[in-house]
Formats: sequence, structure tokens, C-alpha cells
Amino acid sequence: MSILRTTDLKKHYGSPGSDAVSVRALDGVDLAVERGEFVSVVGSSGSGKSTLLHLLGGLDRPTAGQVEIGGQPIFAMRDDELTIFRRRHIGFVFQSYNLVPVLTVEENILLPLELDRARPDGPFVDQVIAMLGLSNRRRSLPDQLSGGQQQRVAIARALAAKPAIILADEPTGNLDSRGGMDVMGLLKISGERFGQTIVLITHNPEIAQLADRTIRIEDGRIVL
Amino acid sequence: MSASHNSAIRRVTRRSLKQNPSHTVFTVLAITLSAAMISAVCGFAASGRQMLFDFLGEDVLEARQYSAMVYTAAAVFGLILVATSVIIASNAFRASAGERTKQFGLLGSIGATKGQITAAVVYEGVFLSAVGIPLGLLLGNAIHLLAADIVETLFVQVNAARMAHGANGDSELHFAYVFSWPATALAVAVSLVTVLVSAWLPARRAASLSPVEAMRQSGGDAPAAKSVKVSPLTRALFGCEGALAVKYAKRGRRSYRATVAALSISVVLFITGSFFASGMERSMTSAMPYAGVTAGVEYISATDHRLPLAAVERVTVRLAEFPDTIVHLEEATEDGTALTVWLAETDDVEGFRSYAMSVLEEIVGAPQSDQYRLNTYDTSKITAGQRAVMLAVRLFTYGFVALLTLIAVTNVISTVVTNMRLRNREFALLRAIGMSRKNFSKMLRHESLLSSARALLYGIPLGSAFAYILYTGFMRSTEFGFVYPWLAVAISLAGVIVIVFAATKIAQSRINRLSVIEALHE
Ligand SMILES: Nc1ncnc2c1ncn2[C@@H]1O[C@H](COP(=O)(O)OP(=O)(O)O)[C@@H](O)[C@H]1O
Ligand SMILES: [Mg+2]
Repeated sequence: MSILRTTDLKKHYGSPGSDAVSVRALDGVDLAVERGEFVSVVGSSGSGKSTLLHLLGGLDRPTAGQVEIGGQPIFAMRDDELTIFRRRHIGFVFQSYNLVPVLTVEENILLPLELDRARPDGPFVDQVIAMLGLSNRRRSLPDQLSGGQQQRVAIARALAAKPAIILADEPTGNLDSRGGMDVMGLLKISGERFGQTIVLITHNPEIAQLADRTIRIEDGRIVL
Repeated sequence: MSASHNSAIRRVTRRSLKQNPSHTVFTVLAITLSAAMISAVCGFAASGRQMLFDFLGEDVLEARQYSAMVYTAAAVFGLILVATSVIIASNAFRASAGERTKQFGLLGSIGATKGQITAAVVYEGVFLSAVGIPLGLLLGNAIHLLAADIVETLFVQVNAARMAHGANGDSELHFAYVFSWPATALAVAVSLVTVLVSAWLPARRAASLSPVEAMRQSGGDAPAAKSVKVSPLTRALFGCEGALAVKYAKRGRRSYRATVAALSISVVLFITGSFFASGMERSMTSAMPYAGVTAGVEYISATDHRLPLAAVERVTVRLAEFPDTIVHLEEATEDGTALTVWLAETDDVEGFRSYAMSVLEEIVGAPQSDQYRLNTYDTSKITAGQRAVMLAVRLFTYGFVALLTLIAVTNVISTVVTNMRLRNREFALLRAIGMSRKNFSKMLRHESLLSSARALLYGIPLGSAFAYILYTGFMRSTEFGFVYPWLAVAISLAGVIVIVFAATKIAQSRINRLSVIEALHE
């Protein structure tokens, strides 16, 4: 059974009556991802990849269509139910990191757990921090870090709660190719160890190849 | 939801406040100012109540009149000042609304619920209030103390004048600073509600967005994507800058609305204050006795014991026999008391007074009986006393109007400057795509005109309504009709336009100093 499924998912920007032209960021996407599967998403810039990922994670509401996670239609939930569901089951790595600028690296990583009043698995978090090479930056603030380091903090934050699903938006975009491969290795190990499902957007064909399956998006539709 | 549940949220809030000290200080100052105004109004009402309470036993009718007057004035000005303090406090929160929206989106995206975000807003409001409100109470009490001192100085003269007038009994007016717990509690409660509402207003919008939408906020005034029709007339008269100004006014509705609200309330404040001052002025002028009259004789009795007409005429004739003296007769009825007064212009005041007393005793009888009372007095003393009182009251009311005007102007300037800061990026963008400074000024001028016109449209009728409420509670008992405050309306018309244009100009010069790239990255 698929853990993630979308049916005729659409997202249009610009409402009728406005002078902005309506943009069809997603134009009817049907997608199914199996539990434990590692899927990479490729496509040119502006094709709708980020929009798809945001909807998969319930971070935005679609214009039409539904996303089911574990058989549960997520947009049928109330806002707060969806938020709580998301923080328990989904780890998100944003294209633009989205770190809280006033919190240290360690506080950022633990924030989703604290919001959920969950007890962090200390040794596991330490291990993730060590693997991402952040051990000596625990007390730094995000703007004291390079883009690549910030990206690794964002990844650590997504992994810390051992979510069932990891959604990552170009997590290696700011890393050199070796760093990129390290992060991929880490994601794969984590995925295998905890049976996690991973959907990952990338521009890098080499990285896309590491996935079990690659889907291509053009103009808001899946073409492959 | 337990308290520990939100400790992470509280930490983020505290750190954000610490990371942006200038904004935090600005917000605390705004809260201080708001709380000071509210606390001063509450304190004043408490002192007024005390004054009436002390006064009540002696002269019930007068006290009732005064109490209507004091409460009406307190209610009208209290309401306007609370509205002003909401605007001042919400300007501070509005300035950071874009950033906060972004932050809420971010927190939402990593799992903060609406409840936790609301907790952050409440926590921030309470945290800032914990500093701002005590400071505001101190400042408000200082203002109250100072103002009570000034009013009491005036009342010393009022009391002296009342004594000179031979005021029935020794009822004295005293306006003292009183510290009242209920008034303080009320001030704290109203201030806290003001702050929480101000903090919550911009947050409410953020809560209605999905995390992704919230994070996309530009940091400035989020435009409403709606179609805006620009009339061909505007385009013809004001060109493309005019059209742009209309679009900004309609789409950047929060800035625009805030400006209009601040301006309107300022217009209301000024019109109402001026009306109050001119009303005081008129009622005082009418109370002035004849100029040039130096002595008076009174026969005071109950209405059903009026002096017979023949007796009145005999007294008049006899008084006029005093050398070099002209006598005017006045009869009046006041609150069940009949008053027959002979006012005389004479050179020998004391001689006339004793002559008049002997004439009255001869024709009417003993100086005092259970039916009437005879009295003579030196009106020049009353005139001097009244003049002093008038001057004092005039100083007080015009000082009051000056203070209100100052609050109104501060309010408008803070709003306009906040708006311009919020729109730095937009402005930089316009300049980056080739809008010249001249076109830019033209656009801003047109925007200023739009918001001024709208503000006057709301402010003038509302101010007039408040003036009429003051009139009904305050001056209806006198013989005056309602005089429309034309002058105040004209001054606010000119004042609004001058202040908005000046404040925009100042803020604009600051923007012009920033380079386009600096502003874009701000
Ligand atoms: N909030 C928004 N408002 C309007 N258009 C948007 C918004 N978000 C994304 N878009 C548009 O939707 C399309 C898809 O965007 P996105 O999903 O970010 O593409 P990708 O991640 O593949 O580069 C783009 O044309 C983009 O301009
Ligand atoms: Mg993208």
C-alpha cells in the first residue's frame, strides 16, 4: 500500500478578478509513493517541484485534489490537526533552509521536538549532528554559518524526530559534490535504518540516480 | 496546554525581542505613552469624582450640573484618547508585522500550532507590557499630579472669586491628586487590552495564512491582490504616478487604513478640544457683570416673596438720588430664587453702599428675615476676581487643547513614518525600475492627498458629533445655542494637509538617502 498518494492535485496562483495572470504551478498530479521508497524529483526551474513538495507535506492548501498519507486525506484535517500530524510524521528540508535566526544550531535542531513536548533521543541527535559535521557549531547562530552549513542544520532538524517521511527540497544545492554525496549517504542510511520514505528534489542527475525511482515534472505535470 | 509546552515558543519570542533592540525599545515607548495617557485620564476622573463628592453636600444643584459636565467631558475625551493610544501602540506592532508573519510561517512549517503562535503573541504583549505599563503608570501619575496642581491653583482663584461674590456658604472647589486603586486597576486593564489587541491585529492575518504563504511575505505591507480601477480622470489629472498612488492606497490597505485612522482621530481630537475651549470661553464671557458698574444692591428671596412693584420703584428712585450716580434695575429668577438687583455707576462706592442699605432697610425692612436677604457689594472686586478666573480657565483650556494637538500631531507623524519605513523596499523597487525622484515625489504627494481627503471625510463628521455630545452634556443648561466649530474645522483641514505632506517629505528624504540596493536588502 502506498504511504503517500495524490489525486488530481492542482495549485493555481492568482485568483480570478485580479489583474495578476493565473499561474498553474501544479496542473493535475497523480502520484503514489510506497513505504520505504526513495523517490527523486527533477524538472526545470519553475516547473512546480517545490509546490508539489509543500502540498505533500501539508504546508499549503491545494486549489483542487487531495493528498493522502497512510490512507488519511490530510486536507480534511483542521489546521492544528494537520500541524501536529506534520510535526510527528514528516521531516521537511526547505530549499531556503528556514532556520529560526535567533536560535542556535542545537536549539533549531531540537525545536520541532520541543514544540511537540517530545523527549529527544539524545545519542541519536548527537550522532546526526556529528555525521553532518556540526559538532563544533552547536552554539552558533544561523547567520554565522555558511550556506552549506545552514543546509546541514536544516537536514539535522528534519532527521531529529525520526519522521516516517522525509521531504527534501534541493538539500544538496548548496554543497560541493563531495558534501552532497555525504548528505545523500546519510539520508539513505537513515532511510534504511528507520524505514523512512524519502522524496527529494534535486538538479543533480548523479544524485537523482541514487534514488529508487525518478519522476520528472514539467509545467506542473508529471511527464515520466 | 501546559506552560512547559510553550517554553520553546517563549524562548524564540524573548530572543527575537533581544535581537532587535531598537524595535523593542520603540514598542515599549509606545506602550508607555499609551498607558500614560490612559492612566492620566483614569486618574483625572478619580480626582473629578473626589471633587464632586466633597462639593456635593453643599450645593446639590450646582454639583449636579458640574457632574454632568465633568462626566461628559471625561467620557468624550477618554474615548478619543483611548482610541489614540490604540493607534500609537498598534503602529509599533504594525511596523514588525511583516517580519512576524514570516516568523509565524516558519514556526508553523516546523510544527507550531495556531495555539502556540497565539501564545507567542500574548507572551510578547505581556512581556513588553511588564516594562511599558509600569513606566506608563509612573508617567501618567506624574501628568495627573502636575495637572491637578495647575487645576488646584486655578480653583484657589475660583474660590476667591466665589467668596467675593458672597457665595452662599463656604463651598469650595478642590481638585487634588488622588491615588485610587480602582482607577489604577482600570488603567492597567485598559492598557493591557490595548497592547494585546494591537499585538494581535497583525498576528490575526498571519494566522489565516498557510505556512508557505506566510513565509513568502515581503516583510512590508502585504498587498491585497484585487483589481483596482483607476478612473480616467485620475490618470488624466495626475498621470501614471497618480494611478500608482491609487493602487498603493487600495492594495497596501493596512498602511493606508492606519494613516486614515490616525489622521481621523487627530481631527476628532482637535475639533472636540477646540469646541470645548470655545464653549468655556463663551460661558465665561456671558457671566461677566457690566463693565463700569461699581456697586450693587440685592434683594434675594424665594420666588413667591417677590418685592412688590411699588416698593421696587420707590427704591430705584431713592437710589438714583445719590449724587453722580446712574442706577440700572435687573430682575431675575434662578432656581426658585428671586433676585432683584440694582447696579450703580458711582464714584463713592462705600458711601453708596451704606446709603443703599439704609434706603432698603427703610423701605423693605431688616437686612435679613426668613423670607429675604439684603446685600450690597463692590462689583469692581468681582470683576477683577472674574477676570482672574477667566484668565486661569482660558490658560487651562488652551493648554489642554495644545496638549491634545500635540498628541494628535505625534500620532500622525508616527503613523506616516512607520508606513514609509515599511515601504522602503517597494520604493526602492520603483526607483530601480526607473521611477525618477520627481515622479516619486509626485506619487507620494498624490497618496498624501488621498489619505488626507479620506481622513477629513471621517474626522469632520465624527468630530462634529462629539462636539454636539459635549454641548448636550455641558452647555445645554446655559442659554447658548449650538455654534458649529467652523474655525477648528478649517484649521484641521489645513493642518492635516500640511502635517501629512511635511511628514511624508521628511520620511522621503530618508529614503532618498538610502541606495536602491541597500533598501532592497533591508
Ligand atoms: N505564492 C506564489 N504566488 C504566485 N506564483 C507562485 C507562488 N509560488 C510559486 N509560484 C509559481 O509557481 C510556479 C512553480 O513554482 P515552484 O514550485 O517554486 O517551482 P520549482 O520549485 O520547480 O522551481 C512558478 O512559476 C512560480 O513562479
Ligand atoms: Mg523550488
